[in-house]
Amino acid sequence: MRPLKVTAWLDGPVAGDVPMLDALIEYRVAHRCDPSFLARSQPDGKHAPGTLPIPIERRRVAGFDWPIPLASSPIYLAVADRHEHFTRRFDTEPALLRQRRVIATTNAEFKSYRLPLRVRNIERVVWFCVGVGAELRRLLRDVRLLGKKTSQGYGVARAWEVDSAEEDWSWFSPSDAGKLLMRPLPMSCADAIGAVGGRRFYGGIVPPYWDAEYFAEGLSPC
Amino acid sequence: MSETYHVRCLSRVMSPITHMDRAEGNEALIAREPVVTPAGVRYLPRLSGNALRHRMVREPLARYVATRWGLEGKLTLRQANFLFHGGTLSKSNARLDLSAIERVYRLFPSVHLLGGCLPDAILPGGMSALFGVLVCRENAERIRKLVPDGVDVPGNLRSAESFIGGYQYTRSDAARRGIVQPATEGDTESPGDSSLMIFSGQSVCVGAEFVHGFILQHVSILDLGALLLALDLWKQNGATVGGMSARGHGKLDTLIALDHGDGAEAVRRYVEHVDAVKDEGIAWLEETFAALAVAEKEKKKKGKAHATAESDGVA
Repeated sequence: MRPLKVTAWLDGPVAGDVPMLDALIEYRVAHRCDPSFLARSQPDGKHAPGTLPIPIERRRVAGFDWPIPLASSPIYLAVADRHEHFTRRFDTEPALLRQRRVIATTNAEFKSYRLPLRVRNIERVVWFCVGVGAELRRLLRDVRLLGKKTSQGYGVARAWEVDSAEEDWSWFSPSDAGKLLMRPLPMSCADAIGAVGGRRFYGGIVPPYWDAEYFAEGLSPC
Repeated sequence: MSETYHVRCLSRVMSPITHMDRAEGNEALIAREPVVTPAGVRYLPRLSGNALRHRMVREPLARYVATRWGLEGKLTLRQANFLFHGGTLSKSNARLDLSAIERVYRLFPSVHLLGGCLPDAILPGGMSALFGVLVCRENAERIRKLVPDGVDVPGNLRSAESFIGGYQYTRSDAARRGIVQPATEGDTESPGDSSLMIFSGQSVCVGAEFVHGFILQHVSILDLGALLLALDLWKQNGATVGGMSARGHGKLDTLIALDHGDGAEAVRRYVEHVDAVKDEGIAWLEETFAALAVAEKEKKKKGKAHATAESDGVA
């Protein structure tokens, strides 16, 4: 495994947040995993963080239960940051229905809605990681969409590039102000104390980032 | 066997497109998106993927299945909601019953394509409907990346603003047409009050073109057939997008290109499949939605029968 720079070139706006590289790779690997591996889950049907065999190195830190991937948060410049709306309107022809009755469209299951969605125009996203380049290239080749509401055309990834990086900048990178935090790390990580560009938060530090069971107090890049 | 397909579309505007975003004062504005151009960020007209996937794919497919299975006039609200709008997660005990999901996907390739909701499960789909990107000078670089290799995009495209037009209509007023009785004593409304209303807005002019398409990831040939049939049905039924199609707006003339595979064979197999699973599909719709409604009714009745004066809020 060696330091790498992964770049996604995007063709259109991205909705929601750009995913963490390690989460994206775990998702891809889970799709390709031997079913016998997936069957060896815990009683609640989950796999503990750090058990999926991904081509990104993981490292343990004292005081935190799970190994943390050596992959940075996504780095990008949003040239336009706005919100759009997506809508749903329940309308149907009475001729199709067996009963004619009044339908409430402001609540319950036939509710019509117009919901906001954060959308950003991003030309490219860069992640730094330590991993196996050829394997990452193979896994990322089929990732054509990033972020939320991809079914509506958001987050089209045109091309992926995996290049060598000079050094490992997955957790920290040098800056004029000092050691710059590059990804969420637990408060128990002694190295993270004193890093610049971070803020305290309570949330996911290892994938799956959405799962509150694995939330912890940490520092996140800001 | 699953494959990934890319269906590309080039649509020429045949009547003004009024795919609106919002109103400013009393003028309706078309949907736009910011695009970074060498001259800065410009807000260019676009067609939303959400609108395209519903109008071009979900609705034609739902109507096709309803007609083919003889369900017109026989659908319950929940069944219509599932077929025409993807359904709603309505039960509190959401779960993943993989064999049940596999059955839904087999009976309804359209659901495997577009995704949807059962009362107790969210079903992911395999298709992404791309935005309609206006063919214009500001979008030239983007268009070059969207079209297949070898297709030439000329450098002298018109600016996006040259494709923006407008419309204005007047709602007719019954009071002015002499068909309203003169006012009598006790009338609260005077027939002399005019409700004549002018309404106007922006549109995308005839002659403009949009590049759009569909990415189908890890789908079967039946799913591809469903999409191609839907596009064909949409074209047969007027090929409109956006609002005010009742006034003749939004007509497109669309060229469709499949990147690989036999489209005609895929459509043939999908049509055969829909006919083959008809009885099972109708039975599934009944047991999943109609039976659910009956069970809920029973539960409500039971709840009323056991209600005490206190629980009803009666002192």
